[in-house]
Amino acid sequence: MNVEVIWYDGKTSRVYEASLNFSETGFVRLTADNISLRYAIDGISVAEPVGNLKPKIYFPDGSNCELSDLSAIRPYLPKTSGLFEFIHRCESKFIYAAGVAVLAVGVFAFMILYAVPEMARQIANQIPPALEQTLGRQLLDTLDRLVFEESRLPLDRQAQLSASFLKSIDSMNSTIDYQILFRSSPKMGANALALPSGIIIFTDEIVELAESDEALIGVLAHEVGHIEQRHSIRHVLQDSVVALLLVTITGDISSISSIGAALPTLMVQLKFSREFETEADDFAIRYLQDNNISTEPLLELLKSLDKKYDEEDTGISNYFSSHPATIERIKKLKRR
Amino acid sequence: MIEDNNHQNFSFNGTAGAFFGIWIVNILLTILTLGIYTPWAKVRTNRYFYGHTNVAGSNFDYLASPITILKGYLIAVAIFIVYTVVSALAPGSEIIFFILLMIALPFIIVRAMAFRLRNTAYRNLRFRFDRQYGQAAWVYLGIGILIPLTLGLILPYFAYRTNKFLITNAGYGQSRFSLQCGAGDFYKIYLIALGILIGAGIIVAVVMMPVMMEMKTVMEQAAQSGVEPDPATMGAAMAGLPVLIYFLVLLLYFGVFIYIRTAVANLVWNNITLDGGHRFESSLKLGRMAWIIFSNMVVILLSLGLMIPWARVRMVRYRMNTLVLIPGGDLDTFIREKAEEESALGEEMGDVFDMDIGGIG
Repeated sequence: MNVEVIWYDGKTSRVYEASLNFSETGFVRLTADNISLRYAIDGISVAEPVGNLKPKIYFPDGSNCELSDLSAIRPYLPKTSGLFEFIHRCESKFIYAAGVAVLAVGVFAFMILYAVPEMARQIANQIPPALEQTLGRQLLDTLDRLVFEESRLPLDRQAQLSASFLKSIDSMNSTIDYQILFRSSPKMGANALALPSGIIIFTDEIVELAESDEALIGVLAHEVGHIEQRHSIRHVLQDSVVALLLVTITGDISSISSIGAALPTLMVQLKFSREFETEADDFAIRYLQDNNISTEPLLELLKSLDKKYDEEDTGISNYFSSHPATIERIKKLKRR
Repeated sequence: MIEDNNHQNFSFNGTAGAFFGIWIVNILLTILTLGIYTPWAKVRTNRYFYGHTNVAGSNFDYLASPITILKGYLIAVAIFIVYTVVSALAPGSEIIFFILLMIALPFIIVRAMAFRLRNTAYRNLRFRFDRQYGQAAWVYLGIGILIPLTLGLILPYFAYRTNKFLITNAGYGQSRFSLQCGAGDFYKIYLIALGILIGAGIIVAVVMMPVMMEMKTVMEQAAQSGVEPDPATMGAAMAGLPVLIYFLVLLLYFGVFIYIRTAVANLVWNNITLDGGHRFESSLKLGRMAWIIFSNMVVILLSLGLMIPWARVRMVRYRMNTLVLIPGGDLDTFIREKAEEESALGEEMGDVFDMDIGGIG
């Protein structure tokens, strides 16, 4: 059995046209120009196949050779790892590669839709309260510096709302110590926020926008829902794991091409955000129903929050939104 | 002329389809093994790209062992975990880590370069990189620290010194690379970049000024007539203008960034020599580079990442199609570095922080 190869001696950059002869059992003879070498088959190794690269055989003296086709001499060569043979088949056959692509998308979807959120839930429940308090306080400091101003609501109005809110919370049988804060925020507008460790902030703007305190109780229940289910910590955990996953796939963070990973990352993170909002809505609806409070005021408040509210609005913009479409939220509230 | 007949074009004959298979299998196995497969993925990818890069009838070879890389990754992960835990327990300790990382930087750069080049072979002869830690510390830290102190005036000099450092310490077999150009050539490139920035800034200002004036008149007229201008139109104009300016500036920086990269790559490649009078010729075109990078980005975005293999192959192919080797003599006579085997020892942590070191990329 004879095959023609290109041989490199490993000592110089010279290119040899050579031939391999496998007639002797257990040995291979290499002949090039006036060189003739004999190698034990056991001592040579074959490079694991990658894509459509030409096969390479490495000899124990550091020389190697390249040939166009391995199949003729395969029976004479030491076995290559079966695992990598299989991997190579998956890479190079279109139908296998397509199967792998489908599988990869499936595994990836499973990770993002199920494994990562579940993992985040488990971890969030293990976070010690002391750490949560530090996080909450740090976040509040940052927000106070960047978007909040002192509340302009009269003090007695603040006290009255706080008392009524805390009374509602008492009826929820929570183990968390809640803290109700009021801030003015022209930058943020009408909004309410839940921070880790039970800090709930109402902006003056939302208090003024609400037509009744009942609507604000609905908002409160929504925010309590966020805190009880540890959404902020789960959100941070899920976002970072997903970002890490996508960076792993696209290769490296530094290259310009990974800007392409930014959009899917953002979309997944927004999806998480919408899910948390839905969970918090469900919590609020359950609370309002259990306490025979009408969902109507909350519904009206949601409508006036979404100035662009449109009964028909269920287009693609949904995928780029941090909250579920107002229409969906309102439908849910009406159903009860 | 003998030299003219003797030009050896680099070429890349890999295909997007074949690389897609490798890439997608790598991703699946990396996810399934929770990242442990990463070194194998890296080796297979590099073997594909090196193996399909040809010049003078032969291809390159990537020889790193995945196990060695895995050890490096594990060390890096361990360091990262220590960092996370310590900085969570003792807030403020990040700065100490940052300083330690800065001190370790020259060491890491030299190690990564040595690992990469030692595992790159052409015609079964390995490249190499001399481990000049002191030199690395001087160039990266000593000169690097002067950049903010000189308000960036020294930046082109820094680019020159880092490129010179990376090239003069590299070798192929027993032959060494050297860099013929000087700091002045780098200053020229950065000055042109600065000129583009200033020129474009003036143009933007000139174009924007009438728009601003127009808006001012509309508002004044509205105020006089007592009629509120249509809030929707005004709102759109007010919001649209900063967004437009923002995008223009972003585009400008993007363009200048690509200009510098392209010009430096051409400058450096055209001035590298390898012992024996071998030279290179790089003829990257700015417009073509910008087009490839920009359209790659758009295609990757629209395909949700699935076209990444196509984009990478396309970039490398253009890179190689514009690179020429001008041999100064026989390409068969390079000789293996004698100390090669010894220097291969004790490099377990190989590419702990393997990273792409810019400049000659």
